[in-house]
Amino acid sequence: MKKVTKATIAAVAAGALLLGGAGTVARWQAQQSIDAGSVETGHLNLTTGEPGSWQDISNPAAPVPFNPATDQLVPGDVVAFSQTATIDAEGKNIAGSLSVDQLETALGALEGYVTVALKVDASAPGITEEADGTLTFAEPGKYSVPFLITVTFDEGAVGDTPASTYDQVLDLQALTLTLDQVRA
Amino acid sequence: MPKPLKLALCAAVLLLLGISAQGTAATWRAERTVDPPALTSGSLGLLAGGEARYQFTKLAGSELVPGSFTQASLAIRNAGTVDLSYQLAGAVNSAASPNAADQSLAKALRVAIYSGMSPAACDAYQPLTGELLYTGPLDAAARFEKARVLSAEPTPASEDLCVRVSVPAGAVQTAAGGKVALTLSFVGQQR
Repeated sequence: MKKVTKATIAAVAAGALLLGGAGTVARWQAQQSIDAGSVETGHLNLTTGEPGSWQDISNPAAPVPFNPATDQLVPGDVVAFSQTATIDAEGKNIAGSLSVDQLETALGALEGYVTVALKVDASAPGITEEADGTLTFAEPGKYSVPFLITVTFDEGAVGDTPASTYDQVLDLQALTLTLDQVRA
Repeated sequence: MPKPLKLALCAAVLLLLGISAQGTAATWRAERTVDPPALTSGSLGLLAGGEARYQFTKLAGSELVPGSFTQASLAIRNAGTVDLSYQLAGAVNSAASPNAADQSLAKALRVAIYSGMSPAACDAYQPLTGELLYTGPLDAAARFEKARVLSAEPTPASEDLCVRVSVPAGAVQTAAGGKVALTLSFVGQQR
Protein backbone atom coordinates (compact mmCIF):
# COMPACT_ATOMS: atom_id res chain seq x y z
CA MET A 1 0.00 0.00 0.00
CA LYS A 2 1.25 3.35 -0.91
CA LYS A 3 2.29 5.75 1.77
CA VAL A 4 -0.27 8.35 0.67
CA THR A 5 -3.10 5.88 0.82
CA LYS A 6 -2.07 4.83 4.32
CA ALA A 7 -2.09 8.40 5.48
CA THR A 8 -5.54 9.06 3.99
CA ILE A 9 -7.01 5.98 5.73
CA ALA A 10 -5.49 7.09 9.03
CA ALA A 11 -6.96 10.61 8.70
CA VAL A 12 -10.45 9.31 7.91
CA ALA A 13 -10.28 6.97 10.90
CA ALA A 14 -9.24 9.80 13.20
CA GLY A 15 -12.10 12.00 11.96
CA ALA A 16 -14.61 9.22 12.53
CA LEU A 17 -13.30 8.71 16.04
CA LEU A 18 -13.65 12.40 16.78
CA LEU A 19 -17.22 12.52 15.51
CA GLY A 20 -18.08 9.48 17.54
CA GLY A 21 -16.51 11.01 20.65
CA ALA A 22 -18.56 14.17 20.25
CA GLY A 23 -21.69 12.18 20.28
CA THR A 24 -20.81 10.35 23.43
CA VAL A 25 -20.40 13.56 25.66
CA ALA A 26 -23.94 14.94 24.95
CA ARG A 27 -26.31 15.36 28.03
CA TRP A 28 -29.78 16.83 28.46
CA GLN A 29 -30.10 20.54 28.71
CA ALA A 30 -33.13 22.77 29.26
CA GLN A 31 -33.25 26.59 29.20
CA GLN A 32 -35.84 28.95 30.70
CA SER A 33 -35.83 32.78 30.58
CA ILE A 34 -37.13 34.64 33.59
CA ASP A 35 -38.25 38.25 33.10
CA ALA A 36 -37.42 40.05 36.34
CA GLY A 37 -38.70 43.38 35.05
CA SER A 38 -36.69 46.56 34.82
CA VAL A 39 -35.27 48.46 37.73
CA GLU A 40 -35.31 52.23 37.64
CA THR A 41 -33.63 54.76 39.84
CA GLY A 42 -35.62 57.53 41.45
CA HIS A 43 -34.67 61.18 41.34
CA LEU A 44 -34.16 64.21 43.48
CA ASN A 45 -34.86 67.45 41.67
CA LEU A 46 -34.90 71.03 42.85
CA THR A 47 -36.47 73.68 40.66
CA THR A 48 -37.45 77.29 41.15
CA GLY A 49 -40.12 77.49 38.49
CA GLU A 50 -41.33 80.97 37.68
CA PRO A 51 -38.88 83.85 38.09
CA GLY A 52 -39.17 85.60 41.41
CA SER A 53 -40.88 88.94 41.68
CA TRP A 54 -40.58 92.06 43.78
CA GLN A 55 -43.46 93.65 45.58
CA ASP A 56 -43.76 96.87 47.48
CA ILE A 57 -45.24 95.81 50.81
CA SER A 58 -44.83 99.14 52.56
CA ASN A 59 -48.56 98.88 53.08
CA PRO A 60 -48.88 95.19 53.97
CA ALA A 61 -52.62 95.30 53.42
CA ALA A 62 -52.23 96.49 49.83
CA PRO A 63 -49.04 95.21 48.20
CA VAL A 64 -48.20 96.60 44.78
CA PRO A 65 -45.65 95.47 42.19
CA PHE A 66 -42.16 96.91 42.47
CA ASN A 67 -39.97 97.01 39.37
CA PRO A 68 -36.31 97.31 40.38
CA ALA A 69 -35.44 98.50 36.86
CA THR A 70 -37.54 101.63 37.18
CA ASP A 71 -38.54 101.99 40.82
CA GLN A 72 -36.25 103.24 43.56
CA LEU A 73 -36.23 102.68 47.27
CA VAL A 74 -36.87 105.59 49.59
CA PRO A 75 -36.98 105.78 53.38
CA GLY A 76 -40.03 104.02 54.73
CA ASP A 77 -40.17 101.47 51.93
CA VAL A 78 -40.44 97.75 52.51
CA VAL A 79 -40.05 95.57 49.44
CA ALA A 80 -40.01 91.81 49.20
CA PHE A 81 -38.68 89.34 46.67
CA SER A 82 -40.59 86.09 46.61
CA GLN A 83 -39.99 82.85 44.81
CA THR A 84 -40.93 79.23 45.32
CA ALA A 85 -38.58 76.27 45.24
CA THR A 86 -40.06 72.91 44.34
CA ILE A 87 -38.62 69.63 45.53
CA ASP A 88 -39.43 66.59 43.44
CA ALA A 89 -38.27 63.44 45.22
CA GLU A 90 -38.93 59.96 43.95
CA GLY A 91 -37.53 56.71 45.28
CA LYS A 92 -38.62 54.14 47.81
CA ASN A 93 -36.35 55.31 50.58
CA ILE A 94 -35.87 58.88 49.49
CA ALA A 95 -35.59 61.54 52.14
CA GLY A 96 -33.83 64.84 52.00
CA SER A 97 -32.76 68.04 53.55
CA LEU A 98 -33.02 71.52 52.00
CA SER A 99 -30.82 74.34 53.18
CA VAL A 100 -31.16 77.93 52.03
CA ASP A 101 -28.12 80.14 52.49
CA GLN A 102 -27.49 83.74 51.64
CA LEU A 103 -24.26 85.57 52.16
CA GLU A 104 -24.55 88.82 54.02
CA THR A 105 -25.25 91.63 51.57
CA ALA A 106 -22.82 94.52 51.66
CA LEU A 107 -24.99 97.56 52.36
CA GLY A 108 -22.35 100.23 51.79
CA ALA A 109 -23.73 103.72 52.36
CA LEU A 110 -27.10 102.22 53.28
CA GLU A 111 -25.61 100.51 56.33
CA GLY A 112 -27.66 101.40 59.36
CA TYR A 113 -30.63 102.46 57.27
CA VAL A 114 -31.49 99.31 55.35
CA THR A 115 -31.95 95.77 56.60
CA VAL A 116 -32.19 92.57 54.58
CA ALA A 117 -33.97 89.49 55.92
CA LEU A 118 -34.52 86.02 54.51
CA LYS A 119 -37.54 83.97 55.46
CA VAL A 120 -38.28 80.44 54.31
CA ASP A 121 -41.82 79.16 54.63
CA ALA A 122 -41.65 75.67 56.08
CA SER A 123 -45.38 75.24 56.46
CA ALA A 124 -45.87 72.97 53.43
CA PRO A 125 -47.31 69.56 54.37
CA GLY A 126 -44.57 66.98 54.86
CA ILE A 127 -41.87 69.57 55.48
CA THR A 128 -40.26 69.86 58.87
CA GLU A 129 -38.07 72.74 59.94
CA GLU A 130 -35.09 71.54 61.93
CA ALA A 131 -33.35 73.42 64.69
CA ASP A 132 -30.46 74.32 62.39
CA GLY A 133 -32.83 75.91 59.89
CA THR A 134 -32.75 73.15 57.32
CA LEU A 135 -36.00 71.76 55.99
CA THR A 136 -36.43 68.03 55.83
CA PHE A 137 -38.87 65.60 54.28
CA ALA A 138 -39.10 61.89 54.92
CA GLU A 139 -41.14 60.57 52.02
CA PRO A 140 -41.21 60.76 48.26
CA GLY A 141 -43.33 63.52 46.84
CA LYS A 142 -43.41 67.06 45.55
CA TYR A 143 -42.94 69.86 48.04
CA SER A 144 -43.23 73.59 47.51
CA VAL A 145 -41.07 75.84 49.64
CA PRO A 146 -41.70 79.57 49.23
CA PHE A 147 -38.98 81.93 50.36
CA LEU A 148 -39.01 85.67 50.84
CA ILE A 149 -36.25 88.25 50.92
CA THR A 150 -37.39 91.42 52.61
CA VAL A 151 -35.58 94.74 52.25
CA THR A 152 -36.57 97.46 54.70
CA PHE A 153 -35.47 101.06 54.34
CA ASP A 154 -36.12 102.54 57.77
CA GLU A 155 -38.30 105.64 57.73
CA GLY A 156 -36.38 107.43 60.46
CA ALA A 157 -37.30 110.86 61.71
CA VAL A 158 -37.81 113.96 59.57
CA GLY A 159 -34.51 114.98 58.00
CA ASP A 160 -32.80 112.02 59.63
CA THR A 161 -31.69 110.12 56.55
CA PRO A 162 -28.62 111.69 54.95
CA ALA A 163 -28.12 112.46 51.28
CA SER A 164 -25.35 109.84 51.24
CA THR A 165 -28.12 107.25 50.93
CA TYR A 166 -29.27 108.70 47.60
CA ASP A 167 -28.84 106.71 44.39
CA GLN A 168 -27.20 103.71 46.03
CA VAL A 169 -27.23 100.31 44.39
CA LEU A 170 -28.12 97.44 46.66
CA ASP A 171 -26.95 94.23 45.03
CA LEU A 172 -28.42 91.41 47.05
CA GLN A 173 -26.29 88.33 47.37
CA ALA A 174 -27.52 85.26 45.56
CA LEU A 175 -29.44 82.64 47.45
CA THR A 176 -28.03 79.14 47.34
CA LEU A 177 -30.55 76.36 47.70
CA THR A 178 -29.00 72.99 48.41
CA LEU A 179 -31.04 69.82 48.47
CA ASP A 180 -29.27 66.77 49.87
CA GLN A 181 -30.50 63.24 49.98
CA VAL A 182 -30.26 61.80 53.48
CA ARG A 183 -30.34 58.23 54.75
CA ALA A 184 -31.93 57.45 58.05
CA MET B 1 12.35 46.83 47.17
CA PRO B 2 13.70 50.38 47.07
CA LYS B 3 12.10 52.79 49.56
CA PRO B 4 10.79 55.32 46.96
CA LEU B 5 9.06 52.50 45.14
CA LYS B 6 7.43 51.32 48.39
CA LEU B 7 6.21 54.85 49.10
CA ALA B 8 4.84 55.21 45.62
CA LEU B 9 2.96 51.94 45.94
CA CYS B 10 1.51 52.98 49.32
CA ALA B 11 0.39 56.31 47.87
CA ALA B 12 -1.24 54.61 44.92
CA VAL B 13 -3.10 52.22 47.24
CA LEU B 14 -4.28 55.09 49.45
CA LEU B 15 -5.46 57.02 46.39
CA LEU B 16 -7.41 54.02 45.16
CA LEU B 17 -8.96 53.60 48.59
CA GLY B 18 -9.87 57.26 48.66
CA ILE B 19 -11.51 57.14 45.27
CA SER B 20 -13.34 54.00 46.25
CA ALA B 21 -14.55 55.52 49.54
CA GLN B 22 -15.75 58.66 47.75
CA GLY B 23 -17.78 56.56 45.39
CA THR B 24 -19.50 54.53 48.06
CA ALA B 25 -20.46 57.56 50.22
CA ALA B 26 -22.19 59.49 47.44
CA THR B 27 -25.79 60.55 47.87
CA TRP B 28 -27.76 62.79 45.58
CA ARG B 29 -27.53 66.54 45.75
CA ALA B 30 -29.39 69.20 43.79
CA GLU B 31 -28.50 72.88 43.87
CA ARG B 32 -30.12 76.05 42.62
CA THR B 33 -28.97 79.62 42.79
CA VAL B 34 -31.39 82.50 42.89
CA ASP B 35 -29.98 85.95 42.26
CA PRO B 36 -32.54 88.70 42.79
CA PRO B 37 -32.07 91.82 40.67
CA ALA B 38 -30.30 94.72 42.34
CA LEU B 39 -32.24 97.52 43.98
CA THR B 40 -31.48 101.21 43.80
CA SER B 41 -32.32 103.90 46.28
CA GLY B 42 -33.92 107.06 45.05
CA SER B 43 -33.00 110.65 45.81
CA LEU B 44 -34.59 113.80 47.09
CA GLY B 45 -33.61 117.07 45.49
CA LEU B 46 -35.05 120.56 45.65
CA LEU B 47 -33.62 123.31 43.51
CA ALA B 48 -34.45 127.00 43.64
CA GLY B 49 -33.53 128.85 40.49
CA GLY B 50 -31.98 125.63 39.22
CA GLU B 51 -29.36 125.49 41.96
CA ALA B 52 -29.00 124.30 45.51
CA ARG B 53 -27.64 127.74 46.54
CA TYR B 54 -29.05 130.22 44.11
CA GLN B 55 -27.92 133.83 43.98
CA PHE B 56 -31.28 135.52 43.43
CA THR B 57 -29.78 138.60 41.83
CA LYS B 58 -32.93 139.35 39.83
CA LEU B 59 -34.56 140.45 43.06
CA ALA B 60 -31.89 142.96 43.91
CA GLY B 61 -33.27 146.46 44.22
CA SER B 62 -31.47 149.70 44.84
CA GLU B 63 -32.66 153.11 45.89
CA LEU B 64 -35.93 151.73 47.13
CA VAL B 65 -38.04 154.35 48.80
CA PRO B 66 -41.09 153.95 51.00
CA GLY B 67 -43.95 152.63 48.91
CA SER B 68 -41.71 150.98 46.31
CA PHE B 69 -40.84 147.39 45.74
CA THR B 70 -38.77 144.93 43.76
CA GLN B 71 -40.01 141.62 42.53
CA ALA B 72 -38.75 138.67 40.50
CA SER B 73 -39.76 135.18 39.56
CA LEU B 74 -38.18 132.17 41.18
CA ALA B 75 -38.49 128.62 39.83
CA ILE B 76 -38.65 125.84 42.40
CA ARG B 77 -38.03 122.36 41.01
CA ASN B 78 -38.11 118.79 42.20
CA ALA B 79 -34.71 117.45 41.22
CA GLY B 80 -35.04 114.03 42.80
CA THR B 81 -36.78 110.78 42.06
CA VAL B 82 -39.36 110.94 44.79
CA ASP B 83 -42.40 113.15 45.32
CA LEU B 84 -41.76 115.90 47.80
CA SER B 85 -43.46 118.70 49.58
CA TYR B 86 -41.57 121.89 50.16
CA GLN B 87 -42.01 124.71 52.51
CA LEU B 88 -40.57 128.15 53.11
CA ALA B 89 -38.13 127.84 55.98
CA GLY B 90 -37.37 131.44 56.82
CA ALA B 91 -36.84 134.81 55.18
CA VAL B 92 -34.00 136.54 56.97
CA ASN B 93 -31.40 139.24 56.65
CA SER B 94 -28.12 137.40 56.34
CA ALA B 95 -25.87 140.49 56.29
CA ALA B 96 -22.80 139.78 58.39
CA SER B 97 -22.74 142.91 60.52
CA PRO B 98 -25.77 145.08 59.91
CA ASN B 99 -25.68 148.64 61.18
CA ALA B 100 -28.62 150.48 62.71
CA ALA B 101 -30.04 151.56 59.34
CA ASP B 102 -29.72 148.01 58.00
CA GLN B 103 -31.56 146.64 60.99
CA SER B 104 -34.31 149.25 60.70
CA LEU B 105 -34.76 148.45 57.03
CA ALA B 106 -34.84 144.71 57.73
CA LYS B 107 -37.61 145.30 60.26
CA ALA B 108 -39.54 147.48 57.85
CA LEU B 109 -39.37 145.28 54.76
CA ARG B 110 -42.31 143.15 53.73
CA VAL B 111 -42.05 139.98 51.69
CA ALA B 112 -44.84 138.56 49.58
CA ILE B 113 -44.64 135.28 47.73
CA TYR B 114 -47.22 134.16 45.20
CA SER B 115 -47.58 131.09 43.03
CA GLY B 116 -49.46 130.79 39.76
CA MET B 117 -48.20 134.00 38.20
CA SER B 118 -46.31 133.83 34.94
CA PRO B 119 -42.56 134.56 35.32
CA ALA B 120 -42.75 137.12 32.55
CA ALA B 121 -45.50 139.07 34.29
CA CYS B 122 -43.69 138.82 37.58
CA ASP B 123 -40.40 140.01 36.14
CA ALA B 124 -42.29 142.86 34.44
CA TYR B 125 -43.45 144.10 37.82
CA GLN B 126 -47.07 143.33 37.04
CA PRO B 127 -49.49 143.34 39.96
CA LEU B 128 -49.33 140.17 42.00
CA THR B 129 -51.89 137.52 41.10
CA GLY B 130 -52.39 133.86 41.83
CA GLU B 131 -52.21 132.18 45.20
CA LEU B 132 -50.71 134.05 48.10
CA LEU B 133 -48.27 131.76 49.91
CA TYR B 134 -46.68 134.16 52.33
CA THR B 135 -46.83 137.76 53.24
CA GLY B 136 -45.17 139.31 56.20
CA PRO B 137 -41.92 140.63 57.62
CA LEU B 138 -38.48 139.08 57.46
CA ASP B 139 -38.69 136.26 59.93
CA ALA B 140 -36.73 133.09 60.56
CA ALA B 141 -40.07 131.41 61.26
CA ALA B 142 -41.68 132.53 58.02
CA ARG B 143 -43.67 129.65 56.53
CA PHE B 144 -46.23 129.03 53.82
CA GLU B 145 -49.63 128.32 55.22
CA LYS B 146 -49.48 124.94 53.54
CA ALA B 147 -46.57 122.96 52.12
CA ARG B 148 -46.39 122.81 48.35
CA VAL B 149 -46.26 119.47 46.52
CA LEU B 150 -43.92 118.75 43.65
CA SER B 151 -44.23 115.26 42.21
CA ALA B 152 -41.41 113.32 40.61
CA GLU B 153 -43.41 111.30 38.12
CA PRO B 154 -43.93 111.22 35.21
CA THR B 155 -41.53 114.15 34.97
CA PRO B 156 -40.13 116.13 37.88
CA ALA B 157 -42.51 118.96 38.65
CA SER B 158 -41.62 122.60 39.14
CA GLU B 159 -43.48 125.80 39.87
CA ASP B 160 -42.78 129.45 39.47
CA LEU B 161 -43.07 131.75 42.41
CA CYS B 162 -43.20 135.50 42.33
CA VAL B 163 -41.32 137.13 45.18
CA ARG B 164 -41.90 140.73 46.05
CA VAL B 165 -39.94 142.73 48.60
CA SER B 166 -41.44 146.08 49.45
CA VAL B 167 -40.67 149.05 51.63
CA PRO B 168 -43.94 150.08 53.25
CA ALA B 169 -45.11 153.61 52.75
CA GLY B 170 -44.83 154.23 56.44
CA ALA B 171 -41.29 152.94 56.86
CA VAL B 172 -39.33 154.63 59.61
CA GLN B 173 -36.81 157.30 58.73
CA THR B 174 -34.01 155.32 60.40
CA ALA B 175 -34.31 152.74 57.65
CA ALA B 176 -33.01 155.24 55.11
CA GLY B 177 -29.70 154.15 53.61
CA GLY B 178 -30.08 150.66 55.00
CA LYS B 179 -29.06 147.52 53.20
CA VAL B 180 -30.47 144.03 53.54
CA ALA B 181 -29.10 140.71 52.27
CA LEU B 182 -32.29 138.73 52.00
CA THR B 183 -32.01 134.95 52.25
CA LEU B 184 -35.02 132.83 51.49
CA SER B 185 -34.74 129.22 52.59
CA PHE B 186 -36.85 126.37 51.37
CA VAL B 187 -36.90 122.83 52.66
CA GLY B 188 -38.13 119.75 50.83
CA GLN B 189 -39.53 116.72 52.52
CA GLN B 190 -40.16 113.29 51.03
CA ARG B 191 -43.85 112.55 50.81
